[in-house]
Amino acid sequence: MNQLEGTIDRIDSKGNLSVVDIQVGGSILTTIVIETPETVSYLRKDLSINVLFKETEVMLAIEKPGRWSVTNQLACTVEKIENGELLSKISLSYEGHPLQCLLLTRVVRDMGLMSGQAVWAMVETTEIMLQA
Amino acid sequence: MEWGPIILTFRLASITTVLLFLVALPLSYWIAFSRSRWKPVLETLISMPLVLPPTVIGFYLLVAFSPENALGTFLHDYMGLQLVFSFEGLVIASMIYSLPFMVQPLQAGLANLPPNLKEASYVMGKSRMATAFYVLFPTIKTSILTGLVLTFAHTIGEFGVVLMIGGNIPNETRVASIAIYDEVESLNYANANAYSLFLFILTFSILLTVYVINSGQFKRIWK
Amino acid sequence: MITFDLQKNLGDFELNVRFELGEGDFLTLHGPSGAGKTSILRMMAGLLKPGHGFIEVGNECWYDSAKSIWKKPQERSVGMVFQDYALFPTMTVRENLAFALPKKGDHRILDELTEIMELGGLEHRKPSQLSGGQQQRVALARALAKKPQLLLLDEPLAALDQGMRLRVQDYLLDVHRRYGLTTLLVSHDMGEVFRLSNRVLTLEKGRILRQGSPSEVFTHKNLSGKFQFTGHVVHLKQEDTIQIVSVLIDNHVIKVVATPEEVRGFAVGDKVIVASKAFNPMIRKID
Repeated sequence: MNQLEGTIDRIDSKGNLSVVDIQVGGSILTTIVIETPETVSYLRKDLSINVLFKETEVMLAIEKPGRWSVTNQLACTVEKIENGELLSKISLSYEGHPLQCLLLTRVVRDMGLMSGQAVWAMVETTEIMLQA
Repeated sequence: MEWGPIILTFRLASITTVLLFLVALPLSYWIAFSRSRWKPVLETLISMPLVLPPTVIGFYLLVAFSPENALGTFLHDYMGLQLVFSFEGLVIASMIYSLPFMVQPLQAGLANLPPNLKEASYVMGKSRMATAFYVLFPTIKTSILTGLVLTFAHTIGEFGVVLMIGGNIPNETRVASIAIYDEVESLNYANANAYSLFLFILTFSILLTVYVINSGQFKRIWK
Repeated sequence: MITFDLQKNLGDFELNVRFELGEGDFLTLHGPSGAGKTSILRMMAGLLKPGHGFIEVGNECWYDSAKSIWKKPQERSVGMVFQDYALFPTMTVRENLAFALPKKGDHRILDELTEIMELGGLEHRKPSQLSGGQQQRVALARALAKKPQLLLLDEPLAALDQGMRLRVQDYLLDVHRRYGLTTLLVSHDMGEVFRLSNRVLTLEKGRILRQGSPSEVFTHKNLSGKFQFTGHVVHLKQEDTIQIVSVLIDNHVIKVVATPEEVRGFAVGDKVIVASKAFNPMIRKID
């Protein structure tokens, strides 16, 4: 489970749903949760919170994606690549914080990923969990 | 063989059993559920007739009921009871002598009941009395039957106590066991044998009935 | 409103529980065996006297150590179902129910309960001629015959198989609503807690560990993922660069993919929480 610490920047609620923007370093990550500031105490602007997402849910791009539906984009550097037979584990660094990502070994080879390379890591809004 | 001693024996056994049952029921209830520190003392006293020679009990009762003593005098003067060498005295002595045979099955039956039965009944708003009579006693009916039959059979088999306190008065205290002794002393072996055989067969039948009922055979036969 | 404050030395530990129940609440007492759950039920029923405290039911005082008030079980408006049912073996089903009816009670409630609990046709049987589930229903009907304010259930479903358990739970929910009962249930079964109760007390060694609604008490509130289960690790296996963790949740074994770093230090038997966003799982109707 990848974990980054951030600060809640904005909350838009309707019914039982809230879209939450979290400032993590120089980027904003957005998530949607079935909670509102009324139901839980951790949904408050400026509160520090952990952002969690699974390694299998991280997408990588070599150039900065243009008009993508995935708005959660983090500029990272590849630290290390461990090639398995089918799956490879890519260790990334986002502003000094470690992140990990699982990709098909075949894809790693096709993309020509190498350590030291700059990449964009992306996560769907529905894949991000919050932990107080 | 005369029927007098046999009839007297049955009268004694029946009256003893009925009276003892009435006394033993509350007594067993108390012993089964009490947490009093006097409980072991009472339990011991009740069990004494099992180990003491019947003559010991007979002797003490003889002394206690004797008109020369306070208790005997009191009973005679105020209640009109003459307990030495009388049928009434025999009944009381038999009740004491058979006490463990009645109390122990009842007490064991009650103590082995799941405690929840009593509690369930209390929660339903039933008094202790109603609970005892409608729930507990019906549930231990085989124990009750055992107690009744054992007391009855045991009273038939009494000798020592009767001899001490009852003596050998025809139609008053001359029960079958005494009659047998008497016949043997007079060398009337045929008569002694008639009484003995009669008692043997009878007590055997009674005990067999109890064991059959308690082993559940009874249900299988009748259902 | 039912308020109780119960303290008693129970040998291994000191029971000390204070709680307030609204009318119509269905409260489950949950916790390891020997935590004092059954003792609380017995105190509410009047079968066990606390050392200190009080019990107030509506405007009535059932117990107050300061005023030396102690109502006997006979004087309380309670119904109780025991773990072993405690049906009277010499009485038929109907007689068991009728015995529980107060002197001026209305016999029609017996017919009604017989119908709700689907005991028709069994009325003339003795408890020994009934199955576990049938005995359970008789015990429940019997506890309700006097129309109690408070229903106490001491692990009543523990001895039943899963299918029967679900059915008896339905009966329980039905009568709880129908008769406007306030119910106290002792249970170990998490499914039962969620299905039946609106409030939970988790006890340990005579003290309240947690309290609230079942989801408050049993889900991890500080994690936003809505797809949460607790279970036990039954298997761990490295596959390629990932770990596959098998977790037993109730009767189901599920598998979770994790990185080796995530599950470092995990061992078979460990208690874990499995969480995902409510957005991820697929749902589909099955016949």
